[in-house]
Amino acid sequence: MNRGVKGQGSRVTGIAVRCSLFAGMMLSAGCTDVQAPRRAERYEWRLEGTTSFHWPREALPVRVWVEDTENLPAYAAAAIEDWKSAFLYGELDARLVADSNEADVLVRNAAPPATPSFSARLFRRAPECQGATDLDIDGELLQLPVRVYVDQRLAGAGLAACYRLTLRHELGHAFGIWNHSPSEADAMFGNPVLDGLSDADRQTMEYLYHFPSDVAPAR
Amino acid sequence: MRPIAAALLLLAVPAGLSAQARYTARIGATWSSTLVEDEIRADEPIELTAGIAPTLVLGADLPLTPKNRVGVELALARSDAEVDDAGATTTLTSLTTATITAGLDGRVRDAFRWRAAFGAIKYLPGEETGVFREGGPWRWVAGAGLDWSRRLNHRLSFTAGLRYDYHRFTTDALRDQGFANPEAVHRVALTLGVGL
Repeated sequence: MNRGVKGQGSRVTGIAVRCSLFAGMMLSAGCTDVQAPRRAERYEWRLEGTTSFHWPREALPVRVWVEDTENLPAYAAAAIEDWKSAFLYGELDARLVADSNEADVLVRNAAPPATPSFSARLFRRAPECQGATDLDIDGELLQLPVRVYVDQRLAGAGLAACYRLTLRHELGHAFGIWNHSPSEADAMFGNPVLDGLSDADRQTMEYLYHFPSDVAPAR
Repeated sequence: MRPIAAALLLLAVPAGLSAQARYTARIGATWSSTLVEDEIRADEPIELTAGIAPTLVLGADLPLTPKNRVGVELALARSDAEVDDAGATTTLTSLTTATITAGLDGRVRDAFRWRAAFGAIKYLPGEETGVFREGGPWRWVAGAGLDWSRRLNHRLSFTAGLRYDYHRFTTDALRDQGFANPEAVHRVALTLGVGL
């Protein structure tokens, strides 16, 4: 009787050991070292090829005020989510704010000033709309707020799409890509046609947030 | 959440069915190895880890043979997902893990018992951001453990549990970004509590 019970216990123990080994084998099937992606698809993002900028962690979330017209706040919110999707570790965060006085980035539905007092203007033009981002760089300081302009040039069915991709493009500048991609396959091409972000856009934005910044935001 | 609901059901059912059911509740801490290792710039490693997590473990088991028992355990552990980026540490989001396992245990010697288990782990990020921007994954988990218990009175016993488990971590966001293989994650938990 006792021997029978002992035999039953041993059998269960054996089953447990075999189950554990099987589970371990299942879990470790195909075990190899983690392979991080190569992220080789990036383009020059620096202003004049030398000046790099990204929002420091302590300045996050970037506060973006958007003029409430032409559905621009919705396009801006979608653009922020698109750019945030480039990151795995929370390097960039941005939020829409209601008060323009507390904003780091101002987005207006207006033509950019004809004679800017700013040290850099990144400008693009499409048939239906145009956009510009003005950066006021004083030595090693980026004077806030960054000013973004989007406005209508021609009426047409493509106006909404033009606003959407132009705002995504301009916020790309505001978040740190201070140059244009040489490829029209990217949202940051000088005259963008891509309605979305390419791998190169994402990888460029992600990479520059791990590159030393030459300027710091200041008020 | 269906496996968790099923586990809770298993925890409840034996109470009415068998006086031989044993229930345990323990609290303690869980350590986890690195969840993600990355390198965006050369020679600047990035690691995502879950900090030491306060842990609650609820268990129920029934005798299978005179020496072996079969049961389920639900372990909840809550910590922060922390990013170590070239030496600077930031918090990505809070992170809860719910681990549900079914297992067998048996007597080793004296008051010690072994446990072998298999189940699933669910990651529940506080915010859908970064590697968790498309939510937290379910992953298979296998584990083993050692329990020690001492009877306090005719109903209650004091128990201490040491658990090790293993799973492979990845998320939809990591796959989208081109990560080829999941990360092997090892966890160790030490918990103390009571058995009924």
